[in-house]
Amino acid sequence: MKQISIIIVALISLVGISYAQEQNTTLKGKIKVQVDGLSCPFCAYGLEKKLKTMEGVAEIKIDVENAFALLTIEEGKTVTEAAIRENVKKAGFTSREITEVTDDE
Amino acid sequence: MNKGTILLLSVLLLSCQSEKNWSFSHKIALPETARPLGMAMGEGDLWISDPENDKILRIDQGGDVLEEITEVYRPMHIDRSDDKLFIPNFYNDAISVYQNENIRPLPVDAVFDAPASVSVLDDLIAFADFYNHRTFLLRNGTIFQISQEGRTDGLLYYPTDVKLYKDKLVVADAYNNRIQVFDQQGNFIKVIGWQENIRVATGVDVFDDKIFVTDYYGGRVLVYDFEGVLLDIFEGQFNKPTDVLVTSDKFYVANYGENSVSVYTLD
Repeated sequence: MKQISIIIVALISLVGISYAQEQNTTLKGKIKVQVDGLSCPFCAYGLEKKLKTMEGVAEIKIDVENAFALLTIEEGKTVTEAAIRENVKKAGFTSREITEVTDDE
Repeated sequence: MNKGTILLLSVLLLSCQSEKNWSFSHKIALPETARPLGMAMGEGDLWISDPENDKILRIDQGGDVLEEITEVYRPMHIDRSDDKLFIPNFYNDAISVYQNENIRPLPVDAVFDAPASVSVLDDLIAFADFYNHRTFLLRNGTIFQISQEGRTDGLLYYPTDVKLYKDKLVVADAYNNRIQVFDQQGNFIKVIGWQENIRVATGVDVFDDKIFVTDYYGGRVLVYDFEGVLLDIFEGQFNKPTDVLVTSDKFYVANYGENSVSVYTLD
C-alpha cells in the first residue's frame, strides 16, 4: 500500500513538473497562438491590445478567419508561454496551441 | 369641412404614413482595404471609422473620400455633435475630439479599458467601456458609472455601443446578445431583443422612438420600439454589420466584413 502511494505521489509530481516546464517555456522569433472564440473585430482588437502589453512583443497580427494571433518578438528577447496564456485569458479567450514558426509558415 | 371629413382625411393621412417602408437602395463602395466599423453623420456626408487601418474617413454619398484622420488608434463607434467628431480609441484607451482639422484628447476622469463607443447629446457624453463591462455618463465635468459586469437584467457583458436619446441611454450589450435601456441617472429600464437570438449586438441607433440594432453574426438589422416590440427585421444586404445610422429618410449599415456601407431608403 505504501509503495502504491509513493508511485501515485511520484506520478502527480511528474505531471506537475511537466506542466510547470511547459508554462515556463521561453519562446522567441515569430509565435503563433491558436485562440478559441476569436471572431468579431472587438475581440480581435481586444486580443491585440492585451498581447501588446507584453514585454518584448514588437508586432502582432490577428487572423480572425483562422483564429490565431501571430506575435513577432523583439530581436534578442523572449517571452514565456505562461505570459502569453495569461494575456490571452485577460482578453477573454482561451489559448490553445502555441508554437514558434518560421517566416515560411 | 365638417368633423367627419376631417376625421376621414386624418385617418387616410395616417394610413399613408404607416405604409411607408424601408427598402434596400444600394451599397456605397469604400476604398478596397477599408473595414468600416462605426459611423456618424456629417453635413450630407458620412464619417466612418476604419479600425483595421487606424483611420477615420469622411466620404460623400458616392463613397469618394473627402478627408482622412490618421492620428487614431483602433477607432470604434464615433459620434458627431455640432462640428466636433468624438472618437474612442480602443487601443490606447483615450477619447479624441476632432474639430477644424485638429485633434485633441478629451479629458475624462475615468480609467477605460478599450473604449468602444461615444455618444453625445447636448451637455451629456456617454461612453462604452468594453473590457470593464460598464458605461459612463459625463455631465458638466462630472462622470459617473452606469452598470457593471453581469448576465442578468441591468448588467452588461462587453458593451460595444451606446446611444443617448431624449432622457434615455440605450446600450448594445454585445455578448449578452441584447439591447438594454437605462435612464440618464443610471436606473435600469428594460431589456430588448433577447427573444430574437441576436448573435452579438454590435451597434445601435435610435430615431423617431425606434431602436435599430445590428446583429453581427446573424447579418441582420432589427428594429424595436421602447416597449421592446419587434417592428422590423432587415437581412440579406449585410456582411458582418457593426453599426447602423438612421436619418429621416435613410439608414446606413457599416459592413465590417467588406469595404461597404449598405443604404436603405424610406419609400
